[in-house]
Amino acid sequence: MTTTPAPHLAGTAARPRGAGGDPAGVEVVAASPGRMVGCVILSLWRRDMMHLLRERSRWIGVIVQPLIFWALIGVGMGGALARFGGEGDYLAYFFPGIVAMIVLFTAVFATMSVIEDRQRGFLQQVMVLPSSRAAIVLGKTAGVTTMAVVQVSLTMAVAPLAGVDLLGVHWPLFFAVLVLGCAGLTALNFCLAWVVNSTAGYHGVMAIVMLPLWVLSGAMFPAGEGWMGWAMRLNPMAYLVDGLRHAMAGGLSADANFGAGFGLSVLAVTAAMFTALAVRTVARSTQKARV
Amino acid sequence: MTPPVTPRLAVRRLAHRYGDREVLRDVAFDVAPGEVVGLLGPNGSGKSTVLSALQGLLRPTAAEVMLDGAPVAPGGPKLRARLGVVFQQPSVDKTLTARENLRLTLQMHGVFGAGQRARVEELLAWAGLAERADEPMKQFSGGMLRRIDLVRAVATNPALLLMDEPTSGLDEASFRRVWALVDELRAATGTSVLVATHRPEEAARCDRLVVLHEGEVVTVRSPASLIEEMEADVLVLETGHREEVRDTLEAALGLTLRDEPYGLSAGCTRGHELIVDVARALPREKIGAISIRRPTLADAFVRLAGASLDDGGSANGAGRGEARR
Repeated sequence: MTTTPAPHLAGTAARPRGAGGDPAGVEVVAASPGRMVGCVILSLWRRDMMHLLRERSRWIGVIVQPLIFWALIGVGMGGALARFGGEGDYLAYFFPGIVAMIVLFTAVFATMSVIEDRQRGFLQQVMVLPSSRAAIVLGKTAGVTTMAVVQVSLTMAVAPLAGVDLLGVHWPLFFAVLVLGCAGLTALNFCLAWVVNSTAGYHGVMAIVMLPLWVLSGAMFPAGEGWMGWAMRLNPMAYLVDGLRHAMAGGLSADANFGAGFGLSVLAVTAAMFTALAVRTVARSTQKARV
Repeated sequence: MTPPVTPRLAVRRLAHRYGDREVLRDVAFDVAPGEVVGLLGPNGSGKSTVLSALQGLLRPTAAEVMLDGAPVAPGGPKLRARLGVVFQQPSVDKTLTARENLRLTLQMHGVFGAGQRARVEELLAWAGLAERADEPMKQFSGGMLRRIDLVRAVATNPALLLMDEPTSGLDEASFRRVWALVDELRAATGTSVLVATHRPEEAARCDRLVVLHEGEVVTVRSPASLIEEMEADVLVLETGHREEVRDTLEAALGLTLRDEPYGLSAGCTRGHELIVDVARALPREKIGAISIRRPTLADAFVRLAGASLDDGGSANGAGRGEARR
């Protein structure tokens, strides 16, 4: 092994802007905590982008599986509906729900890494930085949301098979719904991952919380009357599916349960609420461990 | 008269409770500029809790911390801004390369562009891993991971480096390489180092040791002074008949023996004479081997705390200060 002498005295080119030094010539970290928040968000986002480009298996799990569900359930349910006298194209009805499932899977799989990263991985070094730990939540949310946008955009290549006219899609609404819905889901999953703090426990939560929320989102069937209708109204994921339905129909869909503007507002509010909750959870977990 | 040096880090009245359990009691110590101070104690002695309190990962029940003479909040941003941290497990992303990990660390600290690239190359060269900089770190050995983790922790030249069992699980060669980097670091930059360890050979590398047992500071001394206070020799008995041998030697020679993984041991002053007496006192079939060795910091810890560094429990038959003949 050949090593060079400790490079710290020669590293003036790398001295952080605004860095000071003590009489012994030791360089110190001088980036202000406020500026560091932005740097941490950017770094965590970049890290997620590196993972997105390298982990091919992730693409199969996140995109291919929902598309298989779409084809199998769509064809099967379409046949069942026709047998009972139903009308319409179930594959087309089901497609926005499948896009929502891709968003959900992206958020779930990407936030799962938070558990291991926090216990014995990369996040440890982020936790001891002087910047606010809110940067961890914001960086992760930015990374996962970008992943979801990329993956859903690629998935839209098959949308014409579901009768979606790509030229007729209301793209600004589509991406607004996608970004807000994914940010909210990521922040919610981040909270759950942080609190559960075990991969096995997280899988359990996903099975009993997130998947039922998706089923109750209007992805597979419209909002009914009674308790199911109310459950859908209270389910933030329902507004994601509804917004995507509106956007794919060019801005207004007859199959949607809520108005596009109202749905977008709900998504914005829930994204803000879940992000605030995640930030609070990270801060409180530190406090809790301190007592 | 030389004015006293202001400590880089001064910790006073550090205390912490988990529910009813008191895990730190009135812990106090200093770390001078450029000094390597070890927190020596077995698992559960409170070493990692001290480090967690300084890193802001845990809020202590009580603490006063001063950095370069100025009071700072324990684990607060002012303190964290001057820290580099090496955790028990390397805190790198093993799916990324060493170069990418170092770039991400520097980005988080606000170092970008040409300065970042130059610094990454310096750090890789210093760690002796420039040729493997573009391999995913999951292909690295434990020692290589540790070296990258260490240079990551000091990438922005912290004033104080905290290391939590940095060589745990490493072989002798990797241990020496990691400590060669630490020695170079403080010689070149004057960085202070606070290292938690239960390895005697690691403790011997420190300038001073804060000996911790059950959350209390037993003593703060140099490794050399701790060894000097020990008896000249340690009698080592390899045997599968611990109880019988212990009883026999206690009755015949007044020896107080403590359990070791291989058998029993006892501090003594004239080992070369004692070894003959022990051989005479015991039936041959009860002894695997008898030897004499120089005392280590593990022996010093047993003498001070009455417990072994290996298991965190009390050494059998040896209370505080009782292990001497």
